[in-house]
Amino acid sequence: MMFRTSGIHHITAFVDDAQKNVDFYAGVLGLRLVKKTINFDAPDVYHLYYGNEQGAPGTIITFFPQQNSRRGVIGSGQTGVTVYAVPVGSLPFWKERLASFDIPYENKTRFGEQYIRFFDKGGLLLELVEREGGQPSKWTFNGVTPEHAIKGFGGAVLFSHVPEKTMDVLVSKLGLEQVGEEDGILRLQASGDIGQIIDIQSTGIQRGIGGAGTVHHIAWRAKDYTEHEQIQQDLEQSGYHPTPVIDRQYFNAVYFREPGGILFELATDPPGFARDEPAERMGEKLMLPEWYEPQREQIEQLLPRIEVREWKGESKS
Amino acid sequence: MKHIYKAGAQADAPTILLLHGTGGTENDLIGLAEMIAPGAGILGVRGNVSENGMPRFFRRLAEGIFDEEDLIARTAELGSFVDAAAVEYGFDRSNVYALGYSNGANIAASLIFHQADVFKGAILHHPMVPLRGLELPDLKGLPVFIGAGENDPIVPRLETEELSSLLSGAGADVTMHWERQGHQLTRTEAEAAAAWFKTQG
Repeated sequence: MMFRTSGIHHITAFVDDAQKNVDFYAGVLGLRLVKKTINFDAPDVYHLYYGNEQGAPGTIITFFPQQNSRRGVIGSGQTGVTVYAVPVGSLPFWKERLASFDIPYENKTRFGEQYIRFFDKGGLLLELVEREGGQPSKWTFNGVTPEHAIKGFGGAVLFSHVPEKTMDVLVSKLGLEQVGEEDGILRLQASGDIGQIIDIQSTGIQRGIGGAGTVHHIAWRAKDYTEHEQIQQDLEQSGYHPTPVIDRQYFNAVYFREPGGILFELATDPPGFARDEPAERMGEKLMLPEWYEPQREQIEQLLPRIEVREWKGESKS
Repeated sequence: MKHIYKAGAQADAPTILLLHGTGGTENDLIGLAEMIAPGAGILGVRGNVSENGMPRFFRRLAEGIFDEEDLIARTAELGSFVDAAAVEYGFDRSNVYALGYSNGANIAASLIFHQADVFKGAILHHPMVPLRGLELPDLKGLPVFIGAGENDPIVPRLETEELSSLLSGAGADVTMHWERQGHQLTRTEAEAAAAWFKTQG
């Protein structure tokens, strides 16, 4: 049985300022902060997760915000653009919304689809595209209602050093299909209805350098633990040198760097974000893995204060 | 810093500073040092940073993303430690070679980036670029051996090449050795390092 991912599970990036990050992803994009925890390697750094109302796989973007951290350079060897899917007919709403927050955007067209491209406040490249697929988000915040809300990822644009090799891994190991090629961009599709359209680009892109304002890794969905272990073994046998399976509290993870230089992860759909707090209260309390629990007080003092707030933009708040 | 010291066979033998990878100890690379530089003095050091109980030389936020402030502070700390150890144990501070793997190779590279005469030479197994945007000191003639994996999942090939050209650009005499065993430090890589070290007078 060949492994076939249904698409993106989550995307993880580095940014500098934590409150700016909350104001953008919750305040501007209207996503739900579904989990507030820490970087297990650096407990004075948050790990923030945003998604739809339940933080379903395919909707989750996660951040490590560290004040005054080195700015990276977006470029090849990285997931270059994070693409969000919005309901059909809602792009005009989003254009108006971005303008009201003084966020400049650019209109783009790929494979006959209209995109708007813009930077978040931390320097990441984002796009919105209208898509039929995916469930409407049930989350309403700061003027974004389910009618216009982001449903999850539309996909991503991968900036690869060697697009053919990146495509080969996605096709032969992760089960995507090539569905198009145009202006040097390869388009692949996974089997799901969200986070499934992946473009690979290399021309005219400088070399990426990791740091604030860049994506660290893109994670692909594995539907259960068995499938996850099988793909780990398959990657191992094929010489991709994946990590062992790592418990990340809300999913299990396996990492490997594909030959185009991009860090990939395979992440399991289970157990999800409601494993350690009730679904309706997710994201409110700082969640710590049990080995950090005795140090909660010190950790909370080290972390900057953040709040999810009804934010109207820099010039209006 | 927690460490181990063994004097060299002769007074004029070099001292090898051992810098382990994440989760290692001051004893990790002793066997490697004995293979590469038989008869040399040994100063094995344990990293002062703990990542989930695993010793490291400096903090990181994720694979490949370093906490630069911590790296700079820890680089200075390690440099001072080596200076003090030379006085305490009476070895020749100007005849010290670094031998580092992974996280240890990264801090060795960071020391070189900060101070031209910190080592007489360096053997770096699977290093990354420790810092960017630094004006490197004049490294004229500094011999550096870099062992790397073409398919290393932790250090992309281009990053290895970037480090090599940064060092060469500052005047270092860089020898590259490529393997295809991921991030592992293999026997053949160790043998290549030993052969390189023999050519150092």
